[in-house]
Amino acid sequence: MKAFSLLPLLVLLGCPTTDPPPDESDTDADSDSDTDADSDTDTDADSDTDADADTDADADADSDTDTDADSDTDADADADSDTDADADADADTDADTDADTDTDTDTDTDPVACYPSGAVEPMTINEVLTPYSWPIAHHRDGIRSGPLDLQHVPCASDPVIDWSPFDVLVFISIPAW
Amino acid sequence: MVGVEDDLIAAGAEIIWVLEADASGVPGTAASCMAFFDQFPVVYGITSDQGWCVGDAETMPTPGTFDASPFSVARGFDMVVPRSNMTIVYSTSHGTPSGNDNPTGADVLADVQAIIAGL
Repeated sequence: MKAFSLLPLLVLLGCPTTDPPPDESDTDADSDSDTDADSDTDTDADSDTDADADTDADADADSDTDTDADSDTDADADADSDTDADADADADTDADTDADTDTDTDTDTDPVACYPSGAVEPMTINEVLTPYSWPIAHHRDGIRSGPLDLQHVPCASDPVIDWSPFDVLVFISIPAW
Repeated sequence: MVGVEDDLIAAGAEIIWVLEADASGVPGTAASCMAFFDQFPVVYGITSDQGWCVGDAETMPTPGTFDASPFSVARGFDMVVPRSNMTIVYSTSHGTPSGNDNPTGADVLADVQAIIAGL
């Protein structure tokens, strides 16, 4: 009973009976302000990107400076290469020493290398003669004397006796009695 | 006058005289080899102013090797060895005991010349 009697009174006082209509207008206003805020943020991001580009330009300038510094470093490297050339000269000295050693070895080895292998003892026809030697030999001309080593005969490398004019040796073994 | 030894040298042969022992039977040396030829300037028809004199007592590595050679028939022997291969291609013996070849100097020269021609 009291409810029916109060309703007309409220209408007459102008009091709103529902909340939704005023709420919808407020929501529209809020969404507009949010959109503006977002656009401002995007603009700032773009300016940040430009700032980055400027930073790159600065980096290029720095790299030019670095290149100059590298040139200086190369000059130092040239000085180092001169030092290497000196080291090469030392290597040449070593090579000369090796060559001398080879020469000595060849001189000592040649007579042995030239004498044929397969000598047979006792002496046998159609077999290689043992490379006998004598500590002293006298030529019948009464002038020449020296050691006689058959190892030198094939290569004619004897420092005292020149075997090169001869094709064969004739051994004449004699008893004196 | 050209002797056999000069013909041997001219043919391309060098002579090596090996004295096995002297007249007293003492093993030969280079010195006694020279003394022997001074006493007997012509041996087997070959004069002795050519070639090298050595003594068998001084043969290395084994002294007396030539005196003990199987080529010897109680006395001396000759052998020929080409320088190119040092192989014994010829041997002959000489001495008074029977069985020795006893070639003359001219015989040895002819054999040496044939050997050299065949090299």
